[in-house]
Amino acid sequence: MTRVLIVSTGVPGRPGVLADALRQLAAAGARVTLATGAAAGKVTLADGAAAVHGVRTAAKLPGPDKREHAGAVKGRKLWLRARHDPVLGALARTADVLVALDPHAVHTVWQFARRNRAAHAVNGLTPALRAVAERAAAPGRHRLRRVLRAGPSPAVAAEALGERAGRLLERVARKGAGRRVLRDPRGRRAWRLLLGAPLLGDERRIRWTERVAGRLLELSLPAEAGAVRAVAARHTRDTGAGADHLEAAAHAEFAAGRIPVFLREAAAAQLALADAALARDDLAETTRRFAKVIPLLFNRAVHFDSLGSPSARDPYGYLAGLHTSATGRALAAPRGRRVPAAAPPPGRPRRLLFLTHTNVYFLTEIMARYRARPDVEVRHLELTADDGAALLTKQTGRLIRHQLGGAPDYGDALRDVFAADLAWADTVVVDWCLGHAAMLATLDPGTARVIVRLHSYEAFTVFPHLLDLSRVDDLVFVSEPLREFATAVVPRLRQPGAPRTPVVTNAVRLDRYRLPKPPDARFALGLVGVSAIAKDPRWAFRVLRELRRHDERYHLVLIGKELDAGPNPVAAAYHQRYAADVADLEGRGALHRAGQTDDVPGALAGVGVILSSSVRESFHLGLVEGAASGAVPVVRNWPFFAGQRAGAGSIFPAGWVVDDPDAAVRRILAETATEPIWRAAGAAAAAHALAAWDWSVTAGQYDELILGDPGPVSGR
Amino acid sequence: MTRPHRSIGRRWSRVTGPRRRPDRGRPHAVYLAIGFPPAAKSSAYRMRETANRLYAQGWDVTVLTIRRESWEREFGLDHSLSAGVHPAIRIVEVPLERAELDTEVRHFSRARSLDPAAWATRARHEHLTTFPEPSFGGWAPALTEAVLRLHSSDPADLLVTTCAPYVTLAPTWALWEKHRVPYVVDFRDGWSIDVVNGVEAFPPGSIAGRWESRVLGAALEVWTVNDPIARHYRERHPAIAGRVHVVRNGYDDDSVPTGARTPDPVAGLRFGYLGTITFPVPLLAAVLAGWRTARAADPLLGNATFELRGHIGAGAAREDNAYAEMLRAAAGDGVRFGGPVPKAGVAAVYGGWDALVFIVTGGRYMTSGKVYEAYASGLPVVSAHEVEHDASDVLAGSPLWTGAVGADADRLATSFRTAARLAVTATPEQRAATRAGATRFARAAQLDPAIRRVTGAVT
Repeated sequence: MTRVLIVSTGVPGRPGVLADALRQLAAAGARVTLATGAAAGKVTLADGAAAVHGVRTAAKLPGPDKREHAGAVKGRKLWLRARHDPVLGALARTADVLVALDPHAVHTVWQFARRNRAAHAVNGLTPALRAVAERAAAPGRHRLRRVLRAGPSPAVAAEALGERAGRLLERVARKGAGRRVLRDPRGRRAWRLLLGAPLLGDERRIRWTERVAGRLLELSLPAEAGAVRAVAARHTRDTGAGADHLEAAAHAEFAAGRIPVFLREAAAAQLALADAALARDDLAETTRRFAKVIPLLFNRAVHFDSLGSPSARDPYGYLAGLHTSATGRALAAPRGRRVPAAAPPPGRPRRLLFLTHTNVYFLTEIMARYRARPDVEVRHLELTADDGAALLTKQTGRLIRHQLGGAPDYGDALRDVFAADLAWADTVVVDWCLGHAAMLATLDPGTARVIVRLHSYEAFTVFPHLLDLSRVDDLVFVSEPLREFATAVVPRLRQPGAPRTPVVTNAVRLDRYRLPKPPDARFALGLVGVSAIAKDPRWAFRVLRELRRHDERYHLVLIGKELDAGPNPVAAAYHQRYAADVADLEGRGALHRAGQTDDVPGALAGVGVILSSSVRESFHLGLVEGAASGAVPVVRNWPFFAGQRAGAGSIFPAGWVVDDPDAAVRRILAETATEPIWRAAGAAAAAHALAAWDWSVTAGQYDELILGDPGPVSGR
Repeated sequence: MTRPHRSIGRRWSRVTGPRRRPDRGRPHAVYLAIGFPPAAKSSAYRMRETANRLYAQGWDVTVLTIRRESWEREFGLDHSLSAGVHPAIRIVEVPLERAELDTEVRHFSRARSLDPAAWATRARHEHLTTFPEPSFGGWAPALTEAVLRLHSSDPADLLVTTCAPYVTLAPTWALWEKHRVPYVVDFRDGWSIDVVNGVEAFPPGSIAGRWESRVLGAALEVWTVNDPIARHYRERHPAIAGRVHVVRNGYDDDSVPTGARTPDPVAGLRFGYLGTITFPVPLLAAVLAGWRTARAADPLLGNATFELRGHIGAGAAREDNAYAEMLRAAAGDGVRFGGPVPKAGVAAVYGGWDALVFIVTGGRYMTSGKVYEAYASGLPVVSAHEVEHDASDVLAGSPLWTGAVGADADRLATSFRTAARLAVTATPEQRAATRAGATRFARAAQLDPAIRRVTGAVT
């Protein structure tokens, strides 16, 4: 007689198949016991088909196993219960055929098979029937096998020893992660060494890292917690669990108002998985993993809601992982165009298409100019005007998938949006280098010339990395600092076949700002636009406080939309300090918030000194408008670009730019020392602004850019 | 052309047939056919006949496949299939197997035992990093090495490679790159077209897309099993449009009954399905529901039986999956699952039925091989598949076909009733006419012109 032990995690899912197999087993002379993880009473079998045994419940497990059971995978859960079930143990030791009825029962059968080395151990009912038949065909051989292979495998004892050692280690580690140890720098150093140890195992490394990092955060040591996570990340293999753990930890840091110090490691882990998926043609997984990279590397808290940016500090290095990854390269791969951009045919007006998504503010003068010209026909495609197109702009995942070679339906949808206008246009001007620019570049533009304008913040987003530059003829910048920065961030801009990268400043009519200023404007500092943390109004507050030590008549006027309470905890922290400053300065009568106004020239008439306190700007139109109004300009050497060859000084006269608040104070005191000095300095600034940046001057540059000969693309 | 042939040596898992080919001056074709008999797979029929027809047209043939033991894990072995292989054909087995179908738990690693599904996913990922095919991609290096080794021992004049699996394209390309051996790709269902859902399986720029484009670009001929698939390839790769040919599956003469049994409605009409049961579960549910309805409504079907024969599931799921459960649950409706049928028994099984049920997934890109047998059997055929389906084009000429009605249970019930009527009313002349109409789909008639063309081009 053959003794068969069938192990099932729960109630068998296919009772008909099981009943049939049990009938066949009985016919073959087998005696069957079904061990189930469910209560025995829940399994209904025909009378005599098999004995049913319910595996010991988890509630009856000893402490350590009960603890492990809670977090174990299903296969391990059943084994933890089975190994403490003496009845089942006896059945397994005497069984001739051990059968796993479902995938989660396999581990239990695998464990039993190591303890009963003479038995067949199979997965599935058909293999079980075959095993029974095989034993019936050669009973002597299997009897001999039982004699020769008596007793468990030595691996069982080794595993038990390893398990005990592991649990001891866990206990030690739990105690070692106590507050007293972690308060001590030597304790923290020891943990960093341990978590970077090569043989630790990823599962344990991740678990311990989270425990230690959690304790360090409780101890208000976020930088130490980040360092621990970074160390662990560098030593974790490229597994989904490791990457997901880092991603979750990074988002927890953002939520707590901190920039994770292990940001690049977290992104690198996701990129490695994206690359692995790409290598196996799994574009869905590649897209999913790359989509996780975006809120890490390009998180607004990192670049926009902080006064510094790792990308600004090291533009190439920060994104080096992206550029060298297979996924990054695939996304950046040039698809090219069948024919180069061509001059429009003679005999009809030039056809000019403006493509925008929401923000058309900086195109007002430009579009008006070409609409007024009889030799130019203008179309404006605003993507939010059509619900379908607007929806496509929000589907960055589909764009990524499409760039990788999948999502043909997305390509078809984009063709529906753009193809007709693209076929019509001689020149396409895309304002802002964002998703809509990348969407357009998924199509071969034919003979149309494509001009994309990058203002500023786009350089800190993913979109320039999704833009097929082989389908862009000119990537226009509004200032030299941005061009220098963008070419470092997007190295493809320096490679052969890259688009031209001209610099043409914003189009603005400055003459309307020339209004008379009252004498008391001399002591009014002005700041236009404080809605973004990048404007750093608190720098202006420092200047103001210092000035008021010399003369209490100095005060500050904030023109434009206020800084909001903060879209995330990082921004909220700045806003909190900003609000406290505003309350203090307003209480002293040193600050006036003019708010948003349609009459900026009128508001600027009362300003004697115009400030640019920003950490980053592309051109700072508000400052230029102030200068045009006759206010004395004082420009902070924008820190984001201060380390570059081209900073704020590449745009403005050297005398306007200051390195710190003290220098700003000195310049203001000197230029406002008397009313004649102040008025003369203001007049000089206004003259410079009008001569350099007024629309009467720059319009010609736009004509040259937009209406000029397309010419061959040659990089710079 | 005479030359002494060398032995191919002993470093193979198994060699059936001569290690050293007789020096008769015949050109040498290597046939890369994973799933060649005795593998009990539906594709084995086409493979067997391809090898036989190559031999018949003057080629010495060496078949390269994987070791037969690995098929035990899938659908098993059918030695009656091997009996029909010409004895001069050499079959070389490479020691490869599908580990994921292994049911011996002692062979499992600890990680696999703990989470078999996660282990399988990791294994698929590893395969894909070698070659873009989930279950077989990892075989590319071993198959390439085997083909090159075989060629170095006994040079090939032609390589015929049949897919699936598509991993055979890797050695095919390697032999072309290194030795410029001309090759034919018998693509059957194609790769870049998902014949089940009728959509592109992968974009041209993907890794698989680049492989397909590269290999097809230099192929002597590309064969597909129907016109829609051929059209897909002609449109996707216009440069090779003239080299894409349709070589339908057809039926083997020994698979169709020579006569028809006399239906006995009193004892109960016998309906049957023969084939691998892999179509969608809802389709089987619709067929069984239609059968139940027809049986309840029509006295002619009151005591009729419906027998399904073929393979269900592989590995641990062999005859233990949702289909098996559904069939057992339908036992009360006269439904019975009878297990697989060896090739030698196919004609007898058809001969024991009064009407056939032809169930197949997919749409216009899908044909299946069984449709030709169904047609040639001379029995009434109930079709359970999409209306717009290549099988419809094949069966359209049969007077004993009830037509395609999709997967609607009520319409299928009507088809069952129609087939029952046809079974008892069909005249011997009608049956003979049906068989005669099917003769154009005899497998040899499909393969011979293609092989003749290739032979002419190479020799």
